[in-house]
Amino acid sequence: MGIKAGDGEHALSRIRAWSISWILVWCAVQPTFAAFEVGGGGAYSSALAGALSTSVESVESVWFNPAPSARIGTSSVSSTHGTLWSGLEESPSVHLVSGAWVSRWGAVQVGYAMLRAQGWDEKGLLMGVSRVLSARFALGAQVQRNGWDAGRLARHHWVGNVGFLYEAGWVTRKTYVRFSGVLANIGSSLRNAGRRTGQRPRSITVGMQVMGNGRVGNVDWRREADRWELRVGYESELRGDLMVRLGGRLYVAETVNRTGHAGLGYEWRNMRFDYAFSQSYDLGRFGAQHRFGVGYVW
Amino acid sequence: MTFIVLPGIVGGQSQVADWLWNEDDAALLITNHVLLTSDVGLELDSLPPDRNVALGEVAKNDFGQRVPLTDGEISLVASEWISNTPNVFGRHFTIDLGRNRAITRVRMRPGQTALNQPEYYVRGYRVEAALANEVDIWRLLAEERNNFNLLIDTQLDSTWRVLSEDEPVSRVGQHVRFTITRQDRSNWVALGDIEVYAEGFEHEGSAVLKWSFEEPVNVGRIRWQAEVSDETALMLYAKDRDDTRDWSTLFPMDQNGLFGGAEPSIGIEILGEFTTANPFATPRWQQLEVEYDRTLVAASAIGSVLPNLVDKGQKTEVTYSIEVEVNDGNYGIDRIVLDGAAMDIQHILIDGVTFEEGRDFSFSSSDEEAQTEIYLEPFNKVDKDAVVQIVGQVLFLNESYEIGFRVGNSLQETSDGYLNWQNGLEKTVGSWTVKASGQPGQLLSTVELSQRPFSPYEKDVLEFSFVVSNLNNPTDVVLSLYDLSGNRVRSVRQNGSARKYTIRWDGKREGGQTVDPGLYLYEVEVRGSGDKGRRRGTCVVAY
Repeated sequence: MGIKAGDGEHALSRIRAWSISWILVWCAVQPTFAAFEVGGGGAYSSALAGALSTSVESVESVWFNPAPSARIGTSSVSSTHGTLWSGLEESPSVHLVSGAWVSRWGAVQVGYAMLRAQGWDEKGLLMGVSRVLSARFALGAQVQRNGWDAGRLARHHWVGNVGFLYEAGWVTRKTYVRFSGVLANIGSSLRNAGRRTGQRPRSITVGMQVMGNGRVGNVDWRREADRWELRVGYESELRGDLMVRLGGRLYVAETVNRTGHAGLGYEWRNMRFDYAFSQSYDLGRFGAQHRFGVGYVW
Repeated sequence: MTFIVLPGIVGGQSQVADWLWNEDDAALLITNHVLLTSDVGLELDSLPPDRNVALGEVAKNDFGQRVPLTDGEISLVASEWISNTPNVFGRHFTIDLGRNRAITRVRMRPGQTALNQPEYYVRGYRVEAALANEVDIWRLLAEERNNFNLLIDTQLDSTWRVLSEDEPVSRVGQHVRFTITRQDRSNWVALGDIEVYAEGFEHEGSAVLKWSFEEPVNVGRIRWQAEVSDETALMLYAKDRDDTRDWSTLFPMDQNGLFGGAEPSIGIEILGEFTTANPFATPRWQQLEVEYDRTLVAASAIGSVLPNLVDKGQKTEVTYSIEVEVNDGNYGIDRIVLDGAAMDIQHILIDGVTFEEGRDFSFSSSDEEAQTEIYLEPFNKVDKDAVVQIVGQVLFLNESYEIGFRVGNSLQETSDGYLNWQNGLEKTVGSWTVKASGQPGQLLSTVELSQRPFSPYEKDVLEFSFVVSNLNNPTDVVLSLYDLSGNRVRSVRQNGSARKYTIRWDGKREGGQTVDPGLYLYEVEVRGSGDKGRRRGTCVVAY
């Protein structure tokens, strides 16, 4: 997984060949929000995403920008598992299986995620499509059925996400830039009969990715109701098949939560192995997040 | 000035009597720096003009070292400051008066060395003052650039610079600085003592009122009227006249609170402590009212507890025994409060007869207030001499417990509109003390949640219950709740001591909105010097 400089078309093909998952994560920008994603190049367990930021707040957090999967052009299946706050005796856990199939028309994505804790069971089912509309522009859309079950009480709802990916291209001889945006949780309903539903409010995310010489830098900004967050990430190639990732996240609501991230990605033939570690500066005493992922790409 | 005592409720009828503090034989007033005036009542006395308010306070030189210039002495070496060099320009001495004073005059007495060798005088000086909260802003009091006097006295030498049109006025300050502003080649300096004089009120004082009753009574509410302006305070304390405890061990009374001393009482003492941080302001104690009841709940009630030595951190069965003497003229007992312990009562024995909860009595206990209140059914009222034994479990977490008690009567409450508890007496010294020894283990126990999931629309609160042990110093116990984004949604704080806690969360954010359904992180934290403990977990909100 890595990015080499070259002419535009050649470099883009090498990106496809080298770095399916993190491209999704960062190209799509939204991936940095997710603990694991349905990758743009196919279903791919990208624990790497956590290397750049990633905090899991609900099953809805695990999905990302639907647009890039059509751009990547590689099918995949993956599985990811993680603990969210390792310092707790009953640490919540997340589990995901996902897949993406790419055809000439575009890509189809399917995924199923669970967030589990004592007395709380949260699930999300996702289906999405994406398509390259021009050499520079790709568009994608998803529908999700999310829900939680707390024993005698349960709720379910449908929401949609729309995302785009714009290839700005080579702005210098060695620097490639792309932009993306996501409008998420369309159709969510925050209140029902005067009570809050627990659904996430509609959010908007914009981001930029800069690549070159085997390194990738990302920055994105997300706004959700009166909260916002800023995420930055960096990935570098240690060897041709081993990547190291670092990231940070600033989340601002009533209080501030700052998080640091580190991760590794390894390729062996068609297999992908990833590990991501996240530690909050403000809530580090609750423990860290650990995520492991394995995927198969063809 | 007339002060009023309500002599209490006799047969349900209140009586009012005028009472002059210093004219009634039954009352004795002892004051210290407090003055009784007919128009305003008791207030802090004025500072005498000849009081040196710097005496005994801390004086330091320009190197921050203490110097003996406020000890009232000027004797050789030990009580004076000698420059040992003619290079004295800029040397200064600062006196901390401890509080803001309205300074009217400063005197600098020469040291004995200067009296023996008069050339050791100060050639030029400046005296300044700074307020307690503006220690870097010095305001001029007096200045003389060409001095020939051994004794510097701002009143005598007319150097006082704080002047109105026709007379000197004071300057308020806590710090006084004396600076030498001139030096001669052969002129050493020997200073003996710096004296500061001020006007206004004394900064603290006290008055003790001693009152005797004609017969043993049950003292009730104590009310007073006072004028307490900013920067002043008046604290009142009350005890039985035979109570030998030091005033400092007592808690101040609440306005309109019940008397907390031993009862029945044939005399009480009330202490008023006056303080002010403003030299020109004083609290004024204008009026006092004491209610008392000649009809007692019981002629006497004497309590003790067993065992007196227990293991710390263990729930222990204790028996609280109350020997009561009830006469025909007494109300009788149907209410009992144990102060100092939250007891889980198993049963009550009255003269050996077992009384069961629900059928014969009910009770409530509060860990937060360390209190247990018992309600006897009306037909079980104790209206004759008896021994009441209260048997139950108590969790002991501190080193020592003093478990006192009060008895009351519901009829009296109905008649008078409030329950005038009669405080019980300790059988012998230490007989209601429980000592706990050993180590109870961890500082903070596991946290138990009352519900999972919690619905704010079905239950009012989610209770987080836990036990704090081994806490040496009072500290804060804090419950914080976070959503999974790491955003703190609520923080609830309680004053801490070693005891069982139940902290309640109403499912709302700091701003008052109900939180979304979801998974939340909680953290219980004990903060304090030397004592720290944390417990964390998750809770579920669903509706």
